[in-house]
Amino acid sequence: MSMHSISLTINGKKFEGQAEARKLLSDFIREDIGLTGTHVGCEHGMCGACTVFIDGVGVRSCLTFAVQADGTSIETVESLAKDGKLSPLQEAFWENHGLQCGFCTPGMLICAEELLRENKNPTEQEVRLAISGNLCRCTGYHHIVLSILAAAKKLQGAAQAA
Amino acid sequence: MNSSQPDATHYAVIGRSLPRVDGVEKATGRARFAGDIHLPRMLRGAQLLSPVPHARVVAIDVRRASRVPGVRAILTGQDIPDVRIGPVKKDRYVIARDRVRFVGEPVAVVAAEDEDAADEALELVRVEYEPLPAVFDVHEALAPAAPTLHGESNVCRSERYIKGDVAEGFAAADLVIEDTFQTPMVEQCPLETQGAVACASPDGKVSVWASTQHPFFNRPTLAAVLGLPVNKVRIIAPHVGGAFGGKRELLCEPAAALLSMRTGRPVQLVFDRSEEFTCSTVRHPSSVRCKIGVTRDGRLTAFQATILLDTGAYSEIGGLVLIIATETAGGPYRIPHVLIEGSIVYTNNVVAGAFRGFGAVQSSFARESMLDIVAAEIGLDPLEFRLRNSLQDGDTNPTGERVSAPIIGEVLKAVGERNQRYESTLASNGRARGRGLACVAYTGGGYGYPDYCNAVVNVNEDGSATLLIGTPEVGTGSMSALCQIVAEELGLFYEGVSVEAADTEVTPFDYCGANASRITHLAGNAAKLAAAEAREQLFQLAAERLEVSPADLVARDGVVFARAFPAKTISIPALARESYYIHGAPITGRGLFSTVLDPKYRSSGRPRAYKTPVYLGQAVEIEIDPESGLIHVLKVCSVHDVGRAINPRNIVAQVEGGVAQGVGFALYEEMITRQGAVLNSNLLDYKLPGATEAFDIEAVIIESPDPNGPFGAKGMGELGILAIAPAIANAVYDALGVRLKTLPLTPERVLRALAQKRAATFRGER
Repeated sequence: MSMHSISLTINGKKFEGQAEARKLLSDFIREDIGLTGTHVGCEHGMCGACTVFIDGVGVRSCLTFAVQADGTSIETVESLAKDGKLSPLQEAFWENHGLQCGFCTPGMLICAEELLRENKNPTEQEVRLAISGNLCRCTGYHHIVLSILAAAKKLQGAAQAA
Repeated sequence: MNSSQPDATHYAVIGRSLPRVDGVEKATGRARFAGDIHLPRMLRGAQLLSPVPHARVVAIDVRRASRVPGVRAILTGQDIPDVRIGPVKKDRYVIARDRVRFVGEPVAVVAAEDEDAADEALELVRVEYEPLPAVFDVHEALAPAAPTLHGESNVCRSERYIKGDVAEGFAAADLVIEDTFQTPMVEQCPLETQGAVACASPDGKVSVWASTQHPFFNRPTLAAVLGLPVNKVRIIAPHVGGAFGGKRELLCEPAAALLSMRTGRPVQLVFDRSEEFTCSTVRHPSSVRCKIGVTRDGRLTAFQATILLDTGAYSEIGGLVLIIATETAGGPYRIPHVLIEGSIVYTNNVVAGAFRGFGAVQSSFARESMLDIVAAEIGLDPLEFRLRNSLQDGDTNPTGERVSAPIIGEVLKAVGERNQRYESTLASNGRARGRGLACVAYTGGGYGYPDYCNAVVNVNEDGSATLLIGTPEVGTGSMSALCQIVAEELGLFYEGVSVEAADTEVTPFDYCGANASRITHLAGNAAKLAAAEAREQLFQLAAERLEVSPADLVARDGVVFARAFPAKTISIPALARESYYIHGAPITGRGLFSTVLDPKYRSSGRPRAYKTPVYLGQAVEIEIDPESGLIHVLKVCSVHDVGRAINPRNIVAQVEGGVAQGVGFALYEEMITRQGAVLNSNLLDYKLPGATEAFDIEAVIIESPDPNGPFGAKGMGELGILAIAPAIANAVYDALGVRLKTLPLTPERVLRALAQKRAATFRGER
């Protein structure tokens, strides 16, 4: 077991610490940083619940070693709400029954956020593709898709108003 | 309790698609699940699982394992109290004692400072197994010379329903058809695997945070396993990341608690995905033989079913699954002569338990497939055939119970109307289109067995209200429905009601938890009663202030007023303040709802409580590529009688989730086993429906208020899954003229059936 020093930014805050070479980023975020919103559902990249942004790109944190994130900027689900206020995307999930048990929700939100950052006006098919790597056992996806489409509308409305 | 809320058809809160009470926590990632709980000095628990399906455990040597740095405790079956558990039959140890009966049975558990130390220790535990002959198939398990798992026979439980005389019924038939249908072993696959954190305190008390569906149901059993009185055991369900029947059993809780008691430190044990497949329960694989007699004009004369369910190595809740499978086997039909027999059978497979729809999913696949086979033989449209035989007011159902005003006809008409619009053609892309439908009679709100739920509603000093309820939220939105019920009954805004759930030391006794589509109906009734009692206390105070009788009062939108003088009001916050700060009295209502206490619910014959019948129909349009055999679901219509829709959009969301699970069950899902070992115990090799397998879905809600339901509501959480598989199998027949009798309907099975059909045509057979 070899320990490595790593320093990274998580949700805008600097973090410096030690990580064992084999420590997964998902475990590091959950245990060492203490942010438990990033969930682990399958441990091998199939369910997408553990998705986080590394330097703005959605990544499976269960397939990433913590040391690989050295020097990067990570955003987790906890970063989406600003000043205690839900983001339009989070609001849309809440308002449109886009969440049930809530376990897949953080990964769904990150993947949806990534889509909406790149594509302001996605089609239903594009939304489904964007979350095709995320499993949900509760919803059958329909209301998640509706939530993401509703969020896109909200964001467009806000952009036009601005 | 002479006053009541206006039985307004204009409810203030009921019937509105309000957002969930847990939405903010879940959307921000702040909702805590069992695996998110980290206590100071917490150890990691892990289990050593049997690699063999059936063996005597001769010896276990943990000496080397104990010496691994960081290991704090290792327990085997010999180290824990000799207590066997099981809700139906006490046939199982929480850690195997002298015998293992399936691949995946825990034989030792370890607590260590970290996961690596725990894993290293498990590798060093030496277990000497003496193999015993094993059996993996129910038919083989029933053979006279088969090796047995428990006692003399592998038959664990049997059930039988007799109505009339089937021999007479078959003699009266113009046509008798018989066939056998199989369904596979499938996993509930909640996204959160199960887990528990246990913390034993020096005073001998053990607190357990567990991803469980029913903390109260499990508490006495856990206490017995730990050798403690119930007041020393506390179970708390935090947020539970999906359950679907898979989080009933005591799996992580005993191990975590025993290790915590041994070490004096908190212990967390969370299943990895592979353990979720192998250690936790699955849906009973089934073999259902079905025989139907019918007259030439399409009247059912007799129905016979023989149902064999593979319960695996232990019985768990199999007895109840068998009851539901047999009870629902005859469907919503008027059939004069019925014989339904079933058994759950022990094998050395993974243990089976509850899964959304219990055994009705298995038996309905057989019956609804058979009905289409029979309809085709006598040249009747499948919808017309079902309508001709559907239960009418005053009929007795296939298990001999009289039904009043069953709305199966209405359900069938609604589903049939959609189905007629679906296509059965050869699409322009060369793919075959087909349509199919199926229907089921089920129960919405407990299974007709004695069941109880209690609720407490506190109106706080500012006029807000808190509901205490013992049932956990497993994702279905039931807590939100309960808050709507309390708000309506108290005359408060929905936002003014919060809920505290599923803590055996704080919330009142609830028997069966998040199970059996029971929360809205049973807990809803308890919450409504509690809210009504709290409201009466408010009305006593308001009556003095408004100088009217309490019976003349109404509460709505946070104020109380006299029916006759709506302009004269007093606010609920003002009443609450007065109660707390002038009288020093809290406002607390209690509600107990039982399915047995009222004598009118005691049905004759069987010792059971009342049932809430629900009927559902589902129709699908599918497309099949005859080259690849791949089935695409294009449209689904799901028609549900929910009594009263407390939150329509949440109901639609539940239906959609159930339908997706039904599609998975019909098309992909199957645990592949060899000699009892699961070969695809991960989400890569076990295919779940994904977001790109999109289809149009229409959930149709029919409201026929139930006289026993809160505001008329029935439970509906399980229903969406029930009839999808037979509807799809019927659509495959419609599209291609081949009948698939084994799930899942894989491309291989479709192609094989097509090849057989071609060969038969070539040979000149029909």
